[in-house]
Amino acid sequence: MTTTETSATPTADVLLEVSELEVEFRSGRSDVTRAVAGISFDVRRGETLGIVGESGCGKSTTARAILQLPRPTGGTVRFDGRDLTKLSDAEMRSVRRRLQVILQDPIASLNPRRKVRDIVAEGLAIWGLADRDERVHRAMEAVGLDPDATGDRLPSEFSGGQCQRISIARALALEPEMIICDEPVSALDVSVQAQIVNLLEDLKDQYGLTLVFVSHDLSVVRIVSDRVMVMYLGKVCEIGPVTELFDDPKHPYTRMLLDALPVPDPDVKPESAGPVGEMPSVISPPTGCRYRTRCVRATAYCAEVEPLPTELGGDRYVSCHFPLS
Amino acid sequence: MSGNALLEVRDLTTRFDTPKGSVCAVNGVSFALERGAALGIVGESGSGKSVLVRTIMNLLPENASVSTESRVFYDGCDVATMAPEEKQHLWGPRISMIFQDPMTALNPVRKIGAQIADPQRYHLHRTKRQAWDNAADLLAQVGISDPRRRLDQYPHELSGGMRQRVMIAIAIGCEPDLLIADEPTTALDVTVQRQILDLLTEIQRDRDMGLLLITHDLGVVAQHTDHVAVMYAGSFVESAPTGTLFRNMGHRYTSALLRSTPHAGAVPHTRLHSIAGRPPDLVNPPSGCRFAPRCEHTVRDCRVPPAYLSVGDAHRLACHNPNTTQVPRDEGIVR
Repeated sequence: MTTTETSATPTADVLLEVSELEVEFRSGRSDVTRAVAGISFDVRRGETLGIVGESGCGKSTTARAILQLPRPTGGTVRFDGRDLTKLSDAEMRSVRRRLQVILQDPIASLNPRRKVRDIVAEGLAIWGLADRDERVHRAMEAVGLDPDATGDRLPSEFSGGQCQRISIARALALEPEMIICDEPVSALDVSVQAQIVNLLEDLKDQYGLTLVFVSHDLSVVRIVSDRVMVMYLGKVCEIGPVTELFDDPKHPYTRMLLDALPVPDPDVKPESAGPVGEMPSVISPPTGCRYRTRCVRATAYCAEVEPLPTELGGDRYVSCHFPLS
Repeated sequence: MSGNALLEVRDLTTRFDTPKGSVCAVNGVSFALERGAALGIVGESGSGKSVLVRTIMNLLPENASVSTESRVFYDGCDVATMAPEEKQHLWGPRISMIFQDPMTALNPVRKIGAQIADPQRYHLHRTKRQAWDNAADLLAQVGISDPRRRLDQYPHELSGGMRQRVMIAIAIGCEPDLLIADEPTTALDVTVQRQILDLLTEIQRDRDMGLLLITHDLGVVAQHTDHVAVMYAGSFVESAPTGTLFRNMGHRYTSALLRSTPHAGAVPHTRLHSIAGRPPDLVNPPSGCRFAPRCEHTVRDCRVPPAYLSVGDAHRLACHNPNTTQVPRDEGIVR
């Protein structure tokens, strides 16, 4: 932690710099679950970083730790040069204007008793920003909601897709620089999912947003991301530009995830044998490489030594002793 | 025809009485499923696919009613005319079902072994010993290691994928002829989904079972069914052998659904083809074609409900202005 502290003048285009991030939860009397076990990555200004992995890999915990919800138990999160882990609650509040969030369940994340207009205006009201009505109007129009027709209605009158538009408007109203999207389309039907994905892409261009996009759905991540980070049991397997990572994965786990995707074409036969085993418990992860228990390439060495992120060139990093070639 | 088919459904209509009015959740659905075949039913939430299979399984809530013209034939026999004791041993042992959420479908306070053994003891009158021995064999068949020890465990001790394997073991315990799987992998990760679907296909082929696979995912039906029916707003809009359907999507909804599905081979940042609006309110459905308000290719005739007609090769279609050429794959897709 101290080393990253001193070397921390971020390069100009890095908006978020996460270093040695750790999140631990107490489970039971003495057990500690390390949901995120020391990971480092950057998010560059104007890009979308996709985070993928199976449930329990720590992707949502990572997203929440960036927002300090809850505060991580170790490591640093530098947003535009400031270490968020060192900020007081009051200081953190002021950062949240620039760092917003969209959550998975669009209905549960809206207050059912408040009007849509007030939900979208909440952040602005807290900050006492001027021209509130105009900003609310703009944000609602940007997400394709008619402010006059929908502003005075309650969330329960809207479908899941429309509620997700309201959540996006709420995040957008403060004109943030970065939005953390935690499974924003996972609860939606395919046809509605496409509308929301397209909307996020448009808004990103229009407002120059930087996005962190957490999803278990590799196909959606491929569409929206510039770079992708693959996580497994609280560790990073691989980070790289989206096309290269999908078309030529270096970590055996990335390969397994991609091969498991059902292809909507009966003439394309699925890859070989399919995935092996299940993800072990995060409470007692395997020694060495955490993926080794499911990996066909694993050797005795993998059980002893944990693989560290290694640069492969072309902006790609992989944590594997025997990366795919 | 009803003499051969394992399951035949004719003109099935299910309505719900709700405070807002009568909702026609399934509207005149007919299909047949042969022994050893896998039929996929694809649709978005609210399309009526789950209500359809729950009607077949006689699992409807009290505010539901099935129209008098609706007929379900099992192995050529009209289920409505069966004797009560015959019906009692139909649902469960002959037609079995797997549900979406393996946590809520299993009893949290009973051992796995008891939950697998119970239906066999009740329906097949096996002794406890026989049923538990068979339960251990079943667990091994569905790919659970150390089955003897697992019999004494409770559902919370297992992962989501394992629980779904237990559900499958329960479902195949009485050696059913027909297995209905309602979104069996929606709650699971892709890797586990692939394992569970491969297992279902293997069991279906080995036992020459009929499989009715309900899903919202076109990828799942492409890989795991012989025949596909696409459901929209309570009706089948298109059905065909799986290969035919994907090569030759006639209905505008089917092709729009495929094109709005993100593809793992797509070029990043290409726009997804989205379907405008959302599925209709079934209290007041559109009077003509129910997809017309969202369709980009409507013609005059769409004001009248389209008939569900055969267009050859077991391919049926309800559309006034179907795709005539092969559906263009999204431009962004590279293989």
